[in-house]
Amino acid sequence: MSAVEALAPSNSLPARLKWLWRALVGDPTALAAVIWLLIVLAGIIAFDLGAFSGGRIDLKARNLPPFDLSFGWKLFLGADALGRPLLARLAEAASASIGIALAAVLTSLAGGLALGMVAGYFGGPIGNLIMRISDIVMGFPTLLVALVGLYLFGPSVTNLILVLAITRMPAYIRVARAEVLEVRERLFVDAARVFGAGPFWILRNHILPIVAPTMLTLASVNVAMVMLFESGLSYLGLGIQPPAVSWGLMVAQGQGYLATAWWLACFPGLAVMLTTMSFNLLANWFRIVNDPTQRWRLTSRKRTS
Amino acid sequence: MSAGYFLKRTVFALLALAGLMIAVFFLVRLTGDPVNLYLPVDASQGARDAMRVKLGLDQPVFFQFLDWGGQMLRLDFGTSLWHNRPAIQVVLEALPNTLALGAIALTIAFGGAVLFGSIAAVRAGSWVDRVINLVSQAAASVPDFWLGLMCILVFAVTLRILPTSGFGGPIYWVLPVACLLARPFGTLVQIVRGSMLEALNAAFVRTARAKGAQAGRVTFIHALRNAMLPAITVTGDLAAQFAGGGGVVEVVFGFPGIGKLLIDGILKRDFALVQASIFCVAIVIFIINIAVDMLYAAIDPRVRIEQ
Amino acid sequence: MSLLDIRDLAVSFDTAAGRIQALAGVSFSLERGEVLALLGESGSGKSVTAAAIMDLVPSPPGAVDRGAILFDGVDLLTLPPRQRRDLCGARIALIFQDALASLNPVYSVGWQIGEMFRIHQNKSGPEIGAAVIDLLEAVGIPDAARRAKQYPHQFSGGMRQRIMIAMAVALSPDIIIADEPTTALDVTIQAQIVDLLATVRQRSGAGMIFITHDLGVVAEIADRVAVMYAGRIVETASVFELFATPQHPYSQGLLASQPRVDVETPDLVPIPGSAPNPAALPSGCAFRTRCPRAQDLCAEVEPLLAAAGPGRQVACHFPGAFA
Repeated sequence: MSAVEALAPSNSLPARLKWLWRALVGDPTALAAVIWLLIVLAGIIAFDLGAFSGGRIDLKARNLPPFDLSFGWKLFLGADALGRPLLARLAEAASASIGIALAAVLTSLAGGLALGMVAGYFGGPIGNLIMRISDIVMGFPTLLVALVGLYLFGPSVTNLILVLAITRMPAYIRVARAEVLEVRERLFVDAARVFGAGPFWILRNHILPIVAPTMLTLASVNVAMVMLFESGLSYLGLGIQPPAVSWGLMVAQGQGYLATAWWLACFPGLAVMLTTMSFNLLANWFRIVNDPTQRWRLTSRKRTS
Repeated sequence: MSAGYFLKRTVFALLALAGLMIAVFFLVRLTGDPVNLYLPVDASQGARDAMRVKLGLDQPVFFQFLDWGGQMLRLDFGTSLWHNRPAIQVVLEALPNTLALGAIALTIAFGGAVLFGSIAAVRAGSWVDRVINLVSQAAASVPDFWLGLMCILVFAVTLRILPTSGFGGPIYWVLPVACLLARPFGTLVQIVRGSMLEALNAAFVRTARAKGAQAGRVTFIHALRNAMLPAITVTGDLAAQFAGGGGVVEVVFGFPGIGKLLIDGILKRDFALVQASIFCVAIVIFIINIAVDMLYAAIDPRVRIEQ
Repeated sequence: MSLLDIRDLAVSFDTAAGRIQALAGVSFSLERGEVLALLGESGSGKSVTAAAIMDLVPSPPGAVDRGAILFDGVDLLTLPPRQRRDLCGARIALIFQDALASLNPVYSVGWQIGEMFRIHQNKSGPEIGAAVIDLLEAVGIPDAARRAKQYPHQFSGGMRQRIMIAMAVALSPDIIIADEPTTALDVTIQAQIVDLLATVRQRSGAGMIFITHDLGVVAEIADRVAVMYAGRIVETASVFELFATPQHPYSQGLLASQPRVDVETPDLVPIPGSAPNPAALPSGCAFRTRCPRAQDLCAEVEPLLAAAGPGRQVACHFPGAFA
């Protein structure tokens, strides 16, 4: 077995998992990112299971400063003007912030994949039209398009997801189309056509598996960006509307208390930053892991200086 | 760059601009009663009817379109309800502020990124590299409005060395510029580092070393010019984003720019302002795109010949 | 005193698969005015040798483990970096194989050739311009004044190689190292470039190390040959002696595998096996797994380079003119 083969993951599942684990440990920032995301996930689950309930409005705890355990662990991060523990609200907002980002990214991914494959495989006037429109959408600042879209269509959760998805979709369309154009010319596609396979069959079974990895890498990079946009839109008041809550909205709500209760604006924004950073670091790690020429950086036992 | 190419680009851009404004025209009418865009949500029916007549929305769509077309060509976007002046005037006053803010922020971000990205690449793998990497990742992930609020908290409220908001002399620009440049800086450092690493491993850098060039010459004259190309493209994209998207920072600091106008216009339902802002932003974006193309051609001779 | 004297040079690299010995004790010398061909397959260590001389071994992950590189009596490895750098380009020059990748795409060729002067000398702008045009003409590029302002991608492969040669001889170095300068070119251009190199060298009286795997080029241009295998020199001889009576089984295999126009040979005779994995070399003699006369001794003891006649050396336990 040559030296190079010794480094590639073998195909059994436990061996692959073990190798992935080694690759993860090899990159401490990615490991920290995973830990943070697990904490957030734990928070979301805890909230859904009611661990934070009993969040009755307790005016005794109004604007309680953080890092004081004498009031119990729930109030460790302080409380807001109505006495609600900040930790609870952060957990509640987490599902909105992350959920919307994931939903928007999945929608862009699906839409971009479909439109890109159509534009690439069939080409012609429809393909051209798709590309022209996506060029125009891409040329505009995302926030602008999102703002105007929400202005015109009204700020609801569905609209928010759609608007975020549409503004990021052009990137997916371009990548999907480029990949499809390249794969289309390969011989095995011609072979399939000769055997009578229709275009949708070919797209689904032959082209999609090749295009998918690049698209997934793009999606993982995009999650962070979409989260930042959602938080910005919610901060401005055009995203999530009360009584629902997201981290961005919490920052806006805490803004008025900046001088007196700084933690109300600080911790939600910090949560956005750490989560965004975690997604970014993971996307980076994912890219290195998927690139056979770079993998050794993570798994070589001897760290080069 | 030939004049013919330039002309072609201009024509396409104007067509795209026209298409955009027409799309806005129809979208506004298709997504509900356009009057809603001009009035607060709880306006009375009487106010709505009065507004409808005033805006000519009771006319058939065809006549509305002709009227609107004429207005567009005169650059008359209507009167801003909030400022009580022609919207285009308000927008043109705010435009230079946004452009200046964006230009300063991007220049510092680009310069800083080239410096730190190069250092990180030259010392790849060392603790300097790791620190730069971490800081730039953090900078690229920070929500700009939150950074603005935290800066206000630290520098204005607690330390009292900078104003919280407003407009005036240079001191009012410090925090907005600082917050606006954080994300581009973070992103650009990563890009510069990546392309510098590639350039430093390139064959022509080996040649330069074989010629006896010292490290500084190799890094900054040979490698950097090649590595800057991707960074310039990204900066161009970012510049286009800033043309209208630096709005959140402007809102946080009360900075009178187009971004703030647009957001205020949307929140206060002042459609004339929104329309005028969209138009100006579109033109700025077009100009920036052409400028970036020209800059790219100036730096990379391979591109020149193809045009 | 030899112009260049390499003694027991060893270079290793730290890779994901462990520490690999790229050069395992290389010794040879170059006299003034002579052309030494460094002959070997890919991976034998020829380019690493050139890199070591020019201080181009990337320092992590590579390192010079031991040895001396004596240039005019001075050990380059012990020189402070500044002085070593001053020598590169000015007194020892290197010509790379892939001229397109080795020239900076964003600067004109005139600028790049002129850089030699800007780095090492204090000539003024117009003086450099004139010198560059002279050099371009000397290497056979027509319309030199106009061409000097053009960019590498605007030239053909052969022209780019001429530009690299112009760059190398700009400061009249004492040693020119040419690292497979013709491998990437077609055969007709190859002949032109080899001619050009021979002419340029003759005119300047420099010594040349010509790195190649092509026996035809060796026959054409070399005075002496050093054959490399798996990071070691296995034979050195004058070019006539090597072609007439090769002593090392590897050299013999190389020569035997050449198709010949003067003799009827129904089949080509390759050397059995393939180049060894540098991370897993055979014990003792690195060539023994492919050698027709390997014995037990060859697996135990590594043969050292020993004299085998005037001006000849072989590293083999059983050298000789066997068929």
